[in-house]
Amino acid sequence: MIYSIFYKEWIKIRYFFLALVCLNGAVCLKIWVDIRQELQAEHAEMIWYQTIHIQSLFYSDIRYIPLLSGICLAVVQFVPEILQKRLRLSMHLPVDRERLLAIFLVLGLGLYTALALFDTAAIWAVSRFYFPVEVAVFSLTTLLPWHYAGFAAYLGVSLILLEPAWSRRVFVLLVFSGFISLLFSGSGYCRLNPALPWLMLLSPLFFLTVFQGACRFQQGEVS
Amino acid sequence: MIHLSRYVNIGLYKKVAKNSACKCSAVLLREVSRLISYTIGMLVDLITFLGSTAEHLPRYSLILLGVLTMSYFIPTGYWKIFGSEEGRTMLFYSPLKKQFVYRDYLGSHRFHYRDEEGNDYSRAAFEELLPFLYYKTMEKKGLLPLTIEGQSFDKTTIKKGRQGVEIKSRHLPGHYPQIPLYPLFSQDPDQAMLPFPEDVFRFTEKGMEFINADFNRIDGELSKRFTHALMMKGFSFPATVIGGKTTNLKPFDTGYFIRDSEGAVFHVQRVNNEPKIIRTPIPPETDIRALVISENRRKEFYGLAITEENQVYLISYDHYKLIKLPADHYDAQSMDFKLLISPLHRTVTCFDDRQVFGTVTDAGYSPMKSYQRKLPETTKSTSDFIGRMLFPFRLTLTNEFRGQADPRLHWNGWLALVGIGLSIVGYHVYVRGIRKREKRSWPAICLLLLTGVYGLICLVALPDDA
Repeated sequence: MIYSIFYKEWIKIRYFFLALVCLNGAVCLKIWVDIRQELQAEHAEMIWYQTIHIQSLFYSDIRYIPLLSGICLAVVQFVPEILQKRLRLSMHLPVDRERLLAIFLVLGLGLYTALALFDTAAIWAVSRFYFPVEVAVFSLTTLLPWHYAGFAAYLGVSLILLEPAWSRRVFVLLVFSGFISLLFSGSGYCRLNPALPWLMLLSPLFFLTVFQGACRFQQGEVS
Repeated sequence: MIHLSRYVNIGLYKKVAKNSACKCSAVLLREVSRLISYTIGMLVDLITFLGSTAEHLPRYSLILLGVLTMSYFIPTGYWKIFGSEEGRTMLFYSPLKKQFVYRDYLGSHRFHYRDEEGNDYSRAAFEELLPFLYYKTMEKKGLLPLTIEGQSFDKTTIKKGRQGVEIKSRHLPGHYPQIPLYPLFSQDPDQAMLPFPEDVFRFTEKGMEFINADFNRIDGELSKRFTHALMMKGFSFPATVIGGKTTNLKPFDTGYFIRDSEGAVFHVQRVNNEPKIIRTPIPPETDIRALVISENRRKEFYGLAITEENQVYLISYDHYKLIKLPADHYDAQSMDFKLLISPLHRTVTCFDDRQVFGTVTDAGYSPMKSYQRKLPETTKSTSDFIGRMLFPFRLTLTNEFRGQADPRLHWNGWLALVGIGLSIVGYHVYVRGIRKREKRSWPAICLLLLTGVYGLICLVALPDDA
């Protein structure tokens, strides 16, 4: 049953996922073309100086792409379920509600992780090709909060879509928007890193909140 | 025949090998797919377990997230709208008054210009007390040359005798993210400007490496020359502290001061692309935590060395002699430091967000006078009082003494009990008067006791389904 649900979910979102792969790929390609062009037009040492000491991020174009990917995945996965009440039907399958939701989340987050790994690998490759290893390592650690924002956005949007009451939806939207905006605060590289372990400790809470949304969706309660 | 059998054997071997390889790949694929299925199953089980652990856990998870987010945004927004700006004091030594004078910033573009005795001055009068600092104003007013302590100072002598070095705590190593790659400028007497080198250097466990920016490759020959030169001078790898200015916006380049793993400090320069290494006589037991280099045409000192014990030394041009600066109150963790040099005196000031300390010395760095003062208390306004009453705590991510996030939870003291009490009353009114069907619960009361108004907002926004 688990794999049937997985398969059904995959059928539902595969084209959107491919579109997201293309979007992420296009942005990575743009980053590569831009830095390549800059290095050809300018003295390489000046670009290195700007990257290393002025902290200008040559990969800043990708800043909001994980967030967008997370939001899109959640929308594509849950909007058809909510609009056409398909999720209610799925909840009548011989699978626990929690297990059913867990399958949804594992697939969604699995695909999101694949996108995040793709971006990470692309940025690592570009960084490593044009810069010393230290720059590549700092680039990856700078990407971490942005990827985490995408993860939080996926779960936040899932919860907002599952939640039947508008007042709660607004509250959840405010809480998640606030949290995600924290992850984009500051400029330059690795600015948020000392706070990141603390913020990451909160990730199990995101999962738990989505389960409450699913429970309320099944009950159809509006309070 | 022999050749034929050999070919047959080789063919058989290849076939067997091909079959084995296929089998191996199939087994590997099967095992990998099993591992993936197992991992997915495990993840599903784990998340299912999380979701079904406790009935109320999901609600309290959202409440906790709400409380944390609100404890950052609500107080930040409140103090942005209603809070007063933080007071700032700039402390100087007036060679005319022979005492410290200061400028207090009181917020809303209001300033006090005063001396140690509390006498008020206008801005113009205050500037006249500091002729070395505002020498351009003095020149415009036709007050130059001026005579102080029997010496005459015109614009040129003042300009030549002035220097300022500021060390912000957030710029010290460990207080901000820094990629440990540095440009080492080549000092060429025939060049009028400082061109950026085509490489950057780093220190490894075994040597000094130069990486060429054009090819993103290690320049083995240059690295070898510098590593060899360092080893010849007794450098013990790796480097522990590296100090130097990475910009070319400076009058000249003096290279880097580098502390090795045994505490010895080396002066590393690149002259006409050749290493010039000097092992300085700075004692290795000086526990240096930061080296701040400041190239200045006065050429009195290379820069400053800050120790783990928060002592500050000048590294003099005179055989790298260390000159101790009178900065007893300085704490590199949470204070900024300033050294102002005028033709007659040197003023050392260090300050945090509460007070400022100043010591003036003569030209030989012998302390003459010290002064300290609390920063103006602009934050004790009514809105600040209300804010501390309403919010039991607040979460901050920034710190003016750090160049990266510094997550901290600030408790607002006993005053917050008023806000907590009001939140409990508000919750009671909400439960009994507005919601009516909901019972008061002890977990909710505990939440209010701990989080005050944040908890109240969460409880109202997320009423208990039960």
